[in-house]
Amino acid sequence: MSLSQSRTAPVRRKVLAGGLALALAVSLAACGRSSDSSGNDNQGTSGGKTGELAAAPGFDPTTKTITLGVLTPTSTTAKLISDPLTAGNKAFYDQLNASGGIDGKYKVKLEVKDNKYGSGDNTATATAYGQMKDNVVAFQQVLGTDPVHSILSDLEDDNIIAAPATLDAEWYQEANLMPIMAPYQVEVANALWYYVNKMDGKGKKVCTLTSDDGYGNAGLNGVKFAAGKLNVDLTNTQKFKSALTGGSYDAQVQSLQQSNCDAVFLTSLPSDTLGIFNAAISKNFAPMWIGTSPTWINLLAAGDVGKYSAEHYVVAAEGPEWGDMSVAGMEKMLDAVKKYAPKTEPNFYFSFGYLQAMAMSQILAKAVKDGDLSRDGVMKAMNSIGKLTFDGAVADQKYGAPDDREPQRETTIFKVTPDTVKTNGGLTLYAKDAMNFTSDVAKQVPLTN
Amino acid sequence: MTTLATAPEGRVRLSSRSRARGLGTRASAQLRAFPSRWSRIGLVVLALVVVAAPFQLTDDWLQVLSVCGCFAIAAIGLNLLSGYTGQVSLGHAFFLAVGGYVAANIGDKAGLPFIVWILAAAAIGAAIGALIGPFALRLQGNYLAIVTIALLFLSEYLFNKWTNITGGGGNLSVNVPISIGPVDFADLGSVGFDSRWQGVFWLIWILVALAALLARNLVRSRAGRAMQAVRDRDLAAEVIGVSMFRYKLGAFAVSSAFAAVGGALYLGVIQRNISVSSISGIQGFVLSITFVAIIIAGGMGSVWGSIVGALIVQGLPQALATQPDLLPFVGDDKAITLTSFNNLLFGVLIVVFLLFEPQGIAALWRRLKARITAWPSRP
Amino acid sequence: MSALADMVLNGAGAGAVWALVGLGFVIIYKSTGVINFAQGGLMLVGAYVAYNMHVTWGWPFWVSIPGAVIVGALVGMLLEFLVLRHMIGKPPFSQLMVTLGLLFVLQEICANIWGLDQLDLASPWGNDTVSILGAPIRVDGLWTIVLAAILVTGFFVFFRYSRIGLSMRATALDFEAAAAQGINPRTVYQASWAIAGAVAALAAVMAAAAPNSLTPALQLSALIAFPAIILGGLDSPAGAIVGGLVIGIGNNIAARYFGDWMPWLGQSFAGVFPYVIMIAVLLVRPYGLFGTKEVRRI
Repeated sequence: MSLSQSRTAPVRRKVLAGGLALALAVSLAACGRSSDSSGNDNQGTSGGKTGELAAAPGFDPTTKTITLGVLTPTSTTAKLISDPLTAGNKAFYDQLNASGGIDGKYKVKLEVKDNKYGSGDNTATATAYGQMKDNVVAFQQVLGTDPVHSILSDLEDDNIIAAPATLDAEWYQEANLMPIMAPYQVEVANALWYYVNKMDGKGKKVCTLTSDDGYGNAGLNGVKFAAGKLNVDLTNTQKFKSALTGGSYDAQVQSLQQSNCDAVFLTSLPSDTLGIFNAAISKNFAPMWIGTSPTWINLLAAGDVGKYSAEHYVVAAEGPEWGDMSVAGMEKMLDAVKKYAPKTEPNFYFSFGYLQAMAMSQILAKAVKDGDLSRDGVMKAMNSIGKLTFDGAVADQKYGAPDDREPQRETTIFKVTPDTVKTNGGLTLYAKDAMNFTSDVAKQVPLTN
Repeated sequence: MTTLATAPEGRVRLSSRSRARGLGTRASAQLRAFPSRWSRIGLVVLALVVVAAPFQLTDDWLQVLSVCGCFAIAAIGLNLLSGYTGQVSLGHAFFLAVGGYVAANIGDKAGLPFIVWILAAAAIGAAIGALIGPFALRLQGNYLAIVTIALLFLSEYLFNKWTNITGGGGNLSVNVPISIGPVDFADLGSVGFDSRWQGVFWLIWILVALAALLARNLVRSRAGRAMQAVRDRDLAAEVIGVSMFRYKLGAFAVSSAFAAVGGALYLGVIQRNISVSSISGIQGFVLSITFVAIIIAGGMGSVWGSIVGALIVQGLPQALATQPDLLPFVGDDKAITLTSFNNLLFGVLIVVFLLFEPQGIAALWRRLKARITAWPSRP
Repeated sequence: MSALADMVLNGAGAGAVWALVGLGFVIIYKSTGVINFAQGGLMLVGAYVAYNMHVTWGWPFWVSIPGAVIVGALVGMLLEFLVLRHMIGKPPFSQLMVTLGLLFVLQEICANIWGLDQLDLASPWGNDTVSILGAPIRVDGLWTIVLAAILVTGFFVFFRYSRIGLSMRATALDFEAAAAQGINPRTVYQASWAIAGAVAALAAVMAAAAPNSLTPALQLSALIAFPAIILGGLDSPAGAIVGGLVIGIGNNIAARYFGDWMPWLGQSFAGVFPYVIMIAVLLVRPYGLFGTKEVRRI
């Protein structure tokens, strides 16, 4: 090796090293961590200056925008539910923003991230949460019983509130959750009461078919509780694994058929409802299927399945029929659909999303009134709000901290009418007395899993 | 130029430049964990980065990097099994689950301190891994892979059944202590931390360093050479006295221990929630494939390659999520959703690496290094 | 009696789908020694193309099936040409991983073109059943059994008597010797991947024949077919059929009765029962019922 080379080699290596170190330093400095990025921000002023709200995570005072997070499945078949639900959230805020926003001054923006619910992977919610939490004031929607479970500790650590788009009774005990409407356990309790007393179900054989996860168990436990109180014996309880994760239900349907069930309480996702009904049709098994609200999707009103559903399926949900103008807020919601979500078909997931946004907006309005949109401020607003109103769609709800809040205890029973898919989504009131009724057993349902 | 200078004792002393390049002529120099000055400098730089990161990075990045760290630990284990001992496993996720449940039961339910539950995770992981080991003796390559897949589905059933260990409803919240002695990593206010994620980051990457060191030492030892012998020619190795049974079993045990530790950290400290459907069955299969992809991308047979692989495979999708402007066609209303894009990228990454760089990034780096150090001549 | 007929015949129908899926695996394994995890992806392509032809473009069902089969074969050949060809000679695990990567790619391509919703293939059988021994037996299941029987006979004849079939067996046994005999391995591989793609399309169409059952989850049947293939033997077409039928029927019986016979195992055991069988087979007789015993040269 020549003398010149033996001298340049080490120099070049030193230059390389120096460059590397510099690059590292620069890149680290670039991802700067600001002091209020961690979320324990106590900067919220309490209504001192008029109209001057301090900045908070998710709230930008310069653009006067409040950002809310949405953790919902956009990449699995469960988007059958999440797409209209999120559309309902969005339409409400579009309508609100058109008249100025919260308190007429603050516009609301939704940021949506995929939580892969329905694929079996429940880790995506916590990951997406971590990416979003510093940029949102609260979570407008977290869809899926298991996904909500997976972020409970995080919500607690960061003092953020989230509205679960799943109706499990135990949410009412959680300080960081903002659940609304009657939980599944109440839905099925009311439904069982209605079946026994109004659908000629006394003395008939009642069975259950529920998915083998948190959501399915909520429905199952509700039925068990109500059956105990109403002295109904559950003839056959079957569980199944969702077909989306490789499961099947042929054997379960056959077992129910062999038990000669007259009514089967169903807790499943809509894609599984379709498969289950197909299996039942091919086996000529026709009990009365009584489903919790998420068992339903418009597809169930089409084709052969539609004919079957019309005779053998009712849905236990809450609220009015789509298009029922006797409800005060229906006109406003239909107006929002027309202006901001014209492609939406009538669908109670949309109305649920709309109502959920309505509830959250009331809490935000209180936080704004109290002059504090920080995490503490929003939490205080939720705990002191006293009541949430829903424009007559469902009953007003006593609200506050877990000890001060009560879910609605009412249920509406819908029957399937394939001809009216375009006008009311295919769901019509089962009978005049089937709207927003409350039974005694539903009043006793405990707010636990 | 190499100069030989005899020291008074009569030993041969190499010039500093040769030593720096790691091209010693003594076998012991090769075997040192950090043979060259450069690798030592690299180590210091890395340590500085890890120490400084929580002060500079936001919580979401820290969370992503912590996940990468957990995956790196598990991947190092898989590398020991597949890269060094040549045993195929598509059921690695099972051992992560085991670690998670150990953390939940020993750390949370029994409330025992961090050292206890993390070591318990390693021990129980190793024990269960040793049970799987004998299968490896009966089955070769493809068949072993298939049996490990069966393990995932079997475990799904078992986890759903053993509600004593796994909580009811397929979902378990976990809240484990992460303090070593007086230092509580969840709450390091004394250093100026205001978020849990900062302490967690340090804890996990300290453990990554330990895991890497352990693996490195194992590989350089006699056991490591035996493992590689089993990988290359297992019957011939048996003939010369390397017990296939002991080393295959041992490899499974060790790799499962690593995976259990990684899983205990991932499920117990980061996710703080164990959902049966996420770590067994179909999703468990996807997770196991992820680990194999990590060691392929990083380089089978390279410990630091597993770390880099974890950063790429696990970190890249998250990094992309934070920079939506980089990929204008990706988004919920655009041509392809982010999740779909990530899955596509994952598949493409596996195919591209296997086609063009099957030895992974480690090989790429080795070639690059050789080219730089031998410049201007081409190696 | 009718309950038994229901379980056996409907179980056979479901198992026949797995048998068809398994046939695709067997073809590729038999001629190239690769376990093709991308088979599920090929299934998706076949089913969605059939949907596109039949529902979106309105072609008759009996035209859409061959159409999908041809496209499936082409996609199989494309995969071989682009990727698998370059992996010849690499360790079997690498080839296995490459097919896994391809699975993700195929799955995402299908999901992006056709979406995630539940589509209806609108097969002419729908939910129709026919009464055999007093039990309602699904018509699409019966057709699947017939199809599987035809295919396995065809494969038997093909591998025994046709030139390409013989070439495939030769290439699988000894790559170099076959090449030395003048057999072009490229042709063999192309042919086997084409056939696998074709069979996958058929399997997928039958699997998605029930109304509203076409979703990306279809590819999971490929994973669930593994126990059937292992039981039958990885390189035996007849084994795939037998394995599929046994697992299909066994599954039904297990699902129906495990809850009653062994309540301590619980009903969900039925889902895992095929895998238990698979593990048992792998331990006792890894080459399955009909597979060729592997001889390892030291």
